[in-house]
Amino acid sequence: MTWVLPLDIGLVMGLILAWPVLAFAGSFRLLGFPDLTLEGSLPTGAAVYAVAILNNWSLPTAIIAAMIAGACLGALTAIIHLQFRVNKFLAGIIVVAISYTLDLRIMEASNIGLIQRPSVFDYVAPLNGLIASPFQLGTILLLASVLIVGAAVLIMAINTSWGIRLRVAGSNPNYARALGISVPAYLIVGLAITNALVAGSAAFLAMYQGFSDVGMGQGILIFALASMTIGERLVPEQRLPIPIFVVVAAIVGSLVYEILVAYAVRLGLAATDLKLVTAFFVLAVIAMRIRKHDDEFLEVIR
Amino acid sequence: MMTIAPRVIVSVRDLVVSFSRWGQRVTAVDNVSFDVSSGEWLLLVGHNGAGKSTLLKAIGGQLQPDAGEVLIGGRHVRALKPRHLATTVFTIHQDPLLGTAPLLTVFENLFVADPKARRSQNSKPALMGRYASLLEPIGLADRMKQPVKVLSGGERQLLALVIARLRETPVILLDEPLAALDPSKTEVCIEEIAAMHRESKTVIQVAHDIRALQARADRILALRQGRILAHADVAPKNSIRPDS
Amino acid sequence: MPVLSRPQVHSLISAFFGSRARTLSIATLLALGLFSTQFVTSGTAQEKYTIAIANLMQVPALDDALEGMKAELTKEGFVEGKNVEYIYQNANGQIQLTATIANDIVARKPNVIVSLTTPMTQAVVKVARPANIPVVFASVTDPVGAGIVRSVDIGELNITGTSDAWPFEAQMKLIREITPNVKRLGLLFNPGEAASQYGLREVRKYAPELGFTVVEGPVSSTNDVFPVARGLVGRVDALFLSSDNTVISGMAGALQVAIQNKLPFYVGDSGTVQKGGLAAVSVGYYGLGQDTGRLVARVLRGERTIPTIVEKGTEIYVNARAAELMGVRIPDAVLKRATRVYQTIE
Repeated sequence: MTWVLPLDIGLVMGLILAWPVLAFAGSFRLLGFPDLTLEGSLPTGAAVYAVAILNNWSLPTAIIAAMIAGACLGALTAIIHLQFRVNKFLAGIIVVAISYTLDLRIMEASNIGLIQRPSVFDYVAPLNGLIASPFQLGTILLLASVLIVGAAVLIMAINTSWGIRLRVAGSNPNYARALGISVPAYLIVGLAITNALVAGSAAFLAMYQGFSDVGMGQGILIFALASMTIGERLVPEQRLPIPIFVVVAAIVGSLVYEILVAYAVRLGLAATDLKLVTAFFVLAVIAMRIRKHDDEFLEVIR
Repeated sequence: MMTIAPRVIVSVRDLVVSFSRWGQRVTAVDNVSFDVSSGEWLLLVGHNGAGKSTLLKAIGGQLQPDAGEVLIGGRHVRALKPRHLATTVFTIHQDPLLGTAPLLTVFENLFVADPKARRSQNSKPALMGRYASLLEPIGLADRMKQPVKVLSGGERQLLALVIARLRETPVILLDEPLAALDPSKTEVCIEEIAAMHRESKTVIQVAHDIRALQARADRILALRQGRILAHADVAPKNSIRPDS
Repeated sequence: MPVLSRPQVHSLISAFFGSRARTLSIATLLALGLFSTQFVTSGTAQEKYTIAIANLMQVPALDDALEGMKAELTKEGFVEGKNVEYIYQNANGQIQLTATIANDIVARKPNVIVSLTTPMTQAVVKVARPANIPVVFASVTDPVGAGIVRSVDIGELNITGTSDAWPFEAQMKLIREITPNVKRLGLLFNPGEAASQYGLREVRKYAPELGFTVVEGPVSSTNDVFPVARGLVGRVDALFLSSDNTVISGMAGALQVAIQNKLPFYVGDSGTVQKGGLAAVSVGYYGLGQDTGRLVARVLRGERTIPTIVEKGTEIYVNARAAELMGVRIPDAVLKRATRVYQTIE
């Protein structure tokens, strides 16, 4: 029985953190922008959410406030890149640095505890442990529905004429300009949206783990990269249009990664071994040669 | 029979474009002036480094000249807003990878370029039908759902041409479009350009090898070291030109 | 320029891994192998207690505390290997892992969870509370501010622990005693650490009363310690740091600045005095550990509502060698009261 439990926490974390992976993969693969901002928009989302809750804002308003903060950070990265002609990676790093100080100011502390505070998971708590199962069913179902609905909305948006223009701006800015598409405008909006999603999920994470801490973002970038890589290798991409592939791969990658981590933690691996084991698993997945054709196709989106 | 004077659509006046290359100042376009009539197919020829590509870029509003001006339809090309410029001029680049968005499908590339696409009476099947007939001549009609990245360079270039036709901009600039194509595709490419010319579009094409194009184009302008060496009419002008 | 071409790498890897099935089975074998090294045989029929320890990151002070705790528990009859099994989890600084670790620990249904550091304690309490597993935190500086307990004086069900709130007043009084001419204190701290934030507030509160002005030297990583300390020269009469993990890791830099500029360098705990800090009024972490052990013992015996223990911090540690290098003469009265006088710098 206890051996099934890591699957439970792995699913929960994987579902919550699927959003940062989605955001990263989306901006990287679809917008052509490797956006490192998420290492900053995650803790800032949590910070804004925590402060809002401390001030007795309602849950939905607090989450929205967090998303707006994330959107601002994303837009800032785009603006720094466009206006000051700063390299894309560097622009993200600068904003992450800014967000650190911002978080300390927002929270007026480096950490805010949320253990006793109202949480969205309270509403579904009765479902947890249903049917004598050890799974946090309520939490998982809630997160899964949010993810499915959100992903569906994203995919629909991506296929509208607006979404297509967004993707053109990312895939080939020259072509976009030739068509009269304003690349700066779309880039700013694109990064704002992805980082809003990260910040929103950060609110859920803070709710779930019971605190918001200024150091929450550390390691999230490597996590997103690893998850994205795992997902892209595991998901059969031939039948799927590129945007759907990216979305599905991100979700699958996040789930697989977090479940792996949960099992590694269960195995009692000290954190240093944990990094080695997860690196090993990522490599093992990458090394799996599924079909030759896939390599060509994956080259397409590289 | 009336001789109707052809309307000038592109006007290059005293154009000078220079830039720094490895610390040295190079004057790519040196005091060039000429007019292009509406519906004309103009070939720009010359040796490498003669300034043809730079001149084309200047005509397309892609760079700021040191002196002189380019007018399209009587308006300064540099003063045009990006949206307006996009409906006035379309450029086909020498490098086929520049002309299309690799991560989007063939259909999506056409859709985003299509000025009529967003009208509500255009349903997706209708659009697909229209694009299929456009893609037929270049052999890509059955590949609409594929991402452009899987296309070969030559196929992407042909797709760019179809896009140019779709956009229906009055002026189309081509920078050595045949350069990246293998011989089997050359004829199709020329056919596409000819089709645009028949649709009364103004075509300005930088070309290296003019043998294949001689019969089709209207005029040739030869450049050497940034200056006009010579220009000549290729085909005898028709006395009566239909109004565009 | 890659050493091997991509196809070559692929054929190497596939020669090694072969089919997907082989890869997965190798991976599973490795996992099982790693698991088997963690296997602990139990199987006796006597009453066995499981004590789970959850830590965010390993720091000498916390190691001392754990040592003290285990020693105290052994004294009280809870002996490792006999009737107690310890489970360790350490997130190695990755806050990302706290929720996963907390869930894992609670799922194992230990008799009590000992948690260290603020974020880990928060994560653990969040999960342990609904599962009705008691939590004893060790050296969380501000448990009230962190939302872990409502007050340090009144006990709460299933949650108690020891707090290592910095004894600022005592510390600054000590500074006054050893170097009466010091007016401007340069405080080195990492604003990103919960303990330091709390500490900053306290320092700002007590400093004016005792006649000090505080100059802040915020540090965001270990590498910043040296340049920030250098930047404080000329603006301060003494350097000061408390139990801030980041600064402690980089204290060699600050020490160098202190010695070069003959600045007294006051620190916050015994371990750092050993490394060259001039003096500290410390929470003895070993002692804190012992107090924690006592709490754990009480919980294991059935008590569920115990108020938090706030360590007083009355031990004085000085380093004579450091005093020499910094040009400071430690008054005899202090030396007599000191719990320990270090003669060398480690």
